Amino acid sequence: MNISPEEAQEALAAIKQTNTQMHKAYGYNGYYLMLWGLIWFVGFLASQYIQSSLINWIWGGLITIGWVVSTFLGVNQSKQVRSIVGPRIGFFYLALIGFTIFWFIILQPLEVKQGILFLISIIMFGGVVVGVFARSTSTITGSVSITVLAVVGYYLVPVYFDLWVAVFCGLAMFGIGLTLRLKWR
Amino acid sequence: MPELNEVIHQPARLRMMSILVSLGKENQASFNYLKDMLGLTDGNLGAHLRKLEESGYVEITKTFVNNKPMTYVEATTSGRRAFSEHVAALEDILKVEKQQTNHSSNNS
Repeated sequence: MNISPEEAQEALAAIKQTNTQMHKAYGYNGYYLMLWGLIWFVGFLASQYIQSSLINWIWGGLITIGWVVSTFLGVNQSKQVRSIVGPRIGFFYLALIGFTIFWFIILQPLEVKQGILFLISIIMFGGVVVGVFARSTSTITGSVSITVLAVVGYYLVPVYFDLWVAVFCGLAMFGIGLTLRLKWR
Repeated sequence: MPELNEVIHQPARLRMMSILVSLGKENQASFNYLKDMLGLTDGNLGAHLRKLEESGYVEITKTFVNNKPMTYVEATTSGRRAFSEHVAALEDILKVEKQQTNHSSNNS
């Protein structure tokens, strides 16, 4: 098969254009980060300033909203592109939730802040595993960075740990999600 | 030296393979997604997919999502390899052309 340099140029331009279009699909993942970043921000801000049992209800409500919206986003996304490893990731998260409950029971008594740091590290560990499954370096890097930020806050400003997590982890996640959305519009 | 691939070079199939390859190894594109991205009719897209499937470049999975029939497509390992070789061959054509242009401008 022989083609002219002009035809070759056109074909490569078509591939480049398609790749640009494809990058827009990556921006969809930004919605998840924006959602959970906002939930963390509101939840940890409330944890810092609300001391009553109302905080449990606030977290319960926020997590329920998070799961419902995430499920909606996932179903909507699967109409376009789906991951073969999706079901495996689902089973992994189920196992992780089960083990986390078990670890929480055997690690008692835990201070509230220790419990929060423990949970953040577990969630971010989940992020690292998903990143490995999905071959996403940015997911792994982001998860490790958030864990490091949480650990820094835990030792540096223990009194304002919740506020630290709200701003440096929650808002950071929201910001990364928003950047993804704007970059790949 | 990489060679051009006649099956992949057809414009719609070239873009189709480009989409599937850039999705990454663990991901599948839905039939409707490909249709929207490529601006093809159902029949047209189906025909191109069959051609790619016959060549072993894509794998088609039919399933149900929320009780609705869905078709997903993914590039196979040999499809990815064939696409990479085709792109390399296209780049080689441009490289040779560039070298020839430089050579003739140096001679004149």
